[in-house]
Amino acid sequence: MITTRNFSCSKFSIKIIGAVALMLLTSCAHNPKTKTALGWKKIGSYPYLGANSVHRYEYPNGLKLLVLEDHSAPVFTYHTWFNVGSKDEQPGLTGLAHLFEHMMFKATKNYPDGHFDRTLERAGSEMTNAFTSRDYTAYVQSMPNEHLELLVKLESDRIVNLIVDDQALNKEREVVQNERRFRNENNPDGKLYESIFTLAFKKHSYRWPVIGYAEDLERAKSAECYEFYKRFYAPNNATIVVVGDVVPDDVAEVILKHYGHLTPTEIKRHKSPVEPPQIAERTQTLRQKIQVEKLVVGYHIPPVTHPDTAALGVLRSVLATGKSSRLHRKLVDAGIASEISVDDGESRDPGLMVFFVTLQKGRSAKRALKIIDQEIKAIQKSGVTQIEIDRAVAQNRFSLIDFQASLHYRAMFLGYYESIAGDFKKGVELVNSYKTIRSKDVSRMAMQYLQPTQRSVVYGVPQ
Amino acid sequence: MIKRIGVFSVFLFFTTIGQLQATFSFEENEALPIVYFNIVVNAGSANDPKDKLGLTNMTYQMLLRGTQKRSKVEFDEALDNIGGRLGVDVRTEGTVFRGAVLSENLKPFLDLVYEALTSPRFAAVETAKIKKEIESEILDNRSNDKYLATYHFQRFFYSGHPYANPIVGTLSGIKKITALDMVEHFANTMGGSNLAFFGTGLADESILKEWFTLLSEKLVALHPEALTADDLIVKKAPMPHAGRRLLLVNKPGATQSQILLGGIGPTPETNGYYALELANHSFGGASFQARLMQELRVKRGWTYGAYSSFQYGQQPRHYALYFFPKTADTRPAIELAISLFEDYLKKGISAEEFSFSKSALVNNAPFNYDTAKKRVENATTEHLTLLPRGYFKNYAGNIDDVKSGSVTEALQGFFNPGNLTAVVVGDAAKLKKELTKISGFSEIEVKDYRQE
Repeated sequence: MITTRNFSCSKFSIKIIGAVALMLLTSCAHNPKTKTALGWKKIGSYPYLGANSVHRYEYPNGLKLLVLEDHSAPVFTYHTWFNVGSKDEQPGLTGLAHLFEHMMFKATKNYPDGHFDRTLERAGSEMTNAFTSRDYTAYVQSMPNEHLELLVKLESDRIVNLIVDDQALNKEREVVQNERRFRNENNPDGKLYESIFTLAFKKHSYRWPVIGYAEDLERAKSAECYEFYKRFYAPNNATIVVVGDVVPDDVAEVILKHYGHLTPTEIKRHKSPVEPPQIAERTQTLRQKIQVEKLVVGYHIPPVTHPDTAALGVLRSVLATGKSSRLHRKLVDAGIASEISVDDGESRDPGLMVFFVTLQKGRSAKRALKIIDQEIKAIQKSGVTQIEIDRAVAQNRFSLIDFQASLHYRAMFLGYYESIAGDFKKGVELVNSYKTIRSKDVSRMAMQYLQPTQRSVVYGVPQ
Repeated sequence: MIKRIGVFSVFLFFTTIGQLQATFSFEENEALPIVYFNIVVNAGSANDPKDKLGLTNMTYQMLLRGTQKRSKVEFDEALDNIGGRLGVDVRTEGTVFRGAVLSENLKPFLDLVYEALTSPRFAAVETAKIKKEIESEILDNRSNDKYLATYHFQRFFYSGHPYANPIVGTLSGIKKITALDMVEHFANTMGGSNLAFFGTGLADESILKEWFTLLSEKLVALHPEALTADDLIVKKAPMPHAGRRLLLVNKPGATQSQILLGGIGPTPETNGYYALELANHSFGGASFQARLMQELRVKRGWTYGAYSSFQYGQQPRHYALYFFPKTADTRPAIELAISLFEDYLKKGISAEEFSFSKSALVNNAPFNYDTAKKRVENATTEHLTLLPRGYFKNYAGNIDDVKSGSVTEALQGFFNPGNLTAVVVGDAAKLKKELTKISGFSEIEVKDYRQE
């Protein structure tokens, strides 16, 4: 689940990334360890979809930079990904990461309230937006190419100079409460999604919603927000991703000029408790203002860096990606559901693969669950066909290339895997390995991870 | 500082196919090994019969549910095996078949699209299935309050006009539609001469042009009596409503209200149209500096989003203000939005607002057409809504030509805040009495959210 600062831009769903990732990297890095006397290190350049390369830089203060050139239009996208999300919150202070994401657009010691948006909008920014997830918080802008330094100057300022006071907090708290009403309280699907995580996780901090609980948001103090800011907003906890009509070393220089003086801090995280293995099915029924039943099923899966992630990706595709997938056939084509989707659950810590089914009028969610069980059992017993694996690979390859048509989504891919896997190349390796997956691997995934005793089920039924 | 935008990429060229009126346009683009195209038909929900709302959507969705050669299952598998994407996007004034495929798979993909568009099966079993799916979709949409607000605003505002027709239809309309209705609607509306093709990607233009010519000619042969594009466009303008009126869609227990508030909007032919576009940016456009956003969200925290917008259309569509406060803030938020609107019309745009909005819109112009995909979508929208060709490309230049004094003049000449239609989705038990206190809304119609 992602929450964003700006409603109008919430179309930039990150869920798509996991579903589309594939085959980016075609060879190993060159230019290894190029070191300049200017204060940054060019770690390497990595071919990306043939013609373009991703250039990686590092700075003495721990800041990381990825740059991908594309000169097809005189614009660029600039993302700053911080390694902080709702997983870093504490019980009683949920929603702080997202609330703080909103606060980042307020006044700083150098600039008055509204200056950030106003300056960038006047210069022609496509968006001044941000989003928060369980594992990360990202700030995203797209600009005409001549405004790189203007943007870098403002972005570097708010990392250290933000003013966090009661007045600013109280106004933004109300905005976020309204966002919560919109996304969760008055949105049956949002409420179901929130509930599946609360049901599936009993210890780990993934159990609370990214947007937080209303009562926690109400009690949040500006001092706590400021402490959160000082703890997590530092150059050594950030990766900047720039994609577009730029020259990589020039970007590195501008970043050095404006971020180079920032001092790193010790990032003190609360270690989230390890989620104990689930040994029995958990169920919950929500009575909602809906007219057709809903079914949400969550299965625990390992972190994205685990070797099983690629085989799980193929399993996910075979089950629920595309009209030829098994569950689309057995649920939608059979007249039981009107829609089925699956959320990959890729995350830094062990996560949750979530199936979401909207039933047809008069059809029962419990019946849909039985059908899901039958299909999973069939895969556990007999595996999948090579045609199904080839189809999964073809769908993902197409989706990946389609994803590249936008600078913003290219930056999303890099920032996303850099954040949840520690290195964007791990995302590349992951998707490259899809084609190595065999039927027995998929069968083993179904056996190991998709057992009824390890799952949580939320039924949405009409009031 | 405003920067004039230069042309930085190839733009679409348009050609007419043979003796047909079909339009073809393709931009070769080698950046990625992929091809995107839209095949556009001038039939949308506005062309639905009054008693069979949803017919266009159901008919065109059925083209992807089995052909004379393949069952739906076989068709889906053929498409998924290629790894391509083919979707149907039915709009009020037209339908877009949106295709995307890797360049290496273009040939089999084109074969599939040709098959779907020229020999659909309209099988009885699939007809029964799609009706159930659409009925369920209509019921499911009622759980989405934002959807409800948009749906009821469209129904309430355009009542009696084809623009009121919901794209997916109504439960009563869906029940009446038969397979024969769809066969006839397909033959009447998809004739070949009313098709348009807009595409981009890594492919040989001549191959696509030849394919599209064959497709158009085949459809002309299949449906010689089909309506022309001119027959299908919406000819009658919606009638503006005098005075203020409010529809309250009751969602018991809702803690937040979804609000749309508006009236008849301008078209590019409207005098001072680009001045009105600039005025909208300043009042409620996609900007955190806009008055609505500043007053409702930034200063008071009453809503997560607060926007105003115009809609493009063959005839004048609506303008609307949109925001969603909690129940207790609903009345003050509506009152404030209306007073901001009235004040804006009375006093006009400030010099600072004018300067800011002009800079923002002109400097942002590259993002109107910075990717080939966007250029294809722009051409599609221009074609379907009869916008001037090059509307999006020329947008910034037209905004740049707007003079400061013309904005207030255009605002005052076009809008009348005395004529406002409002739709509020929320808890009527808590809202009705409060809303009647708002000036001009003493008469409120209340509807259950499950009603059509």
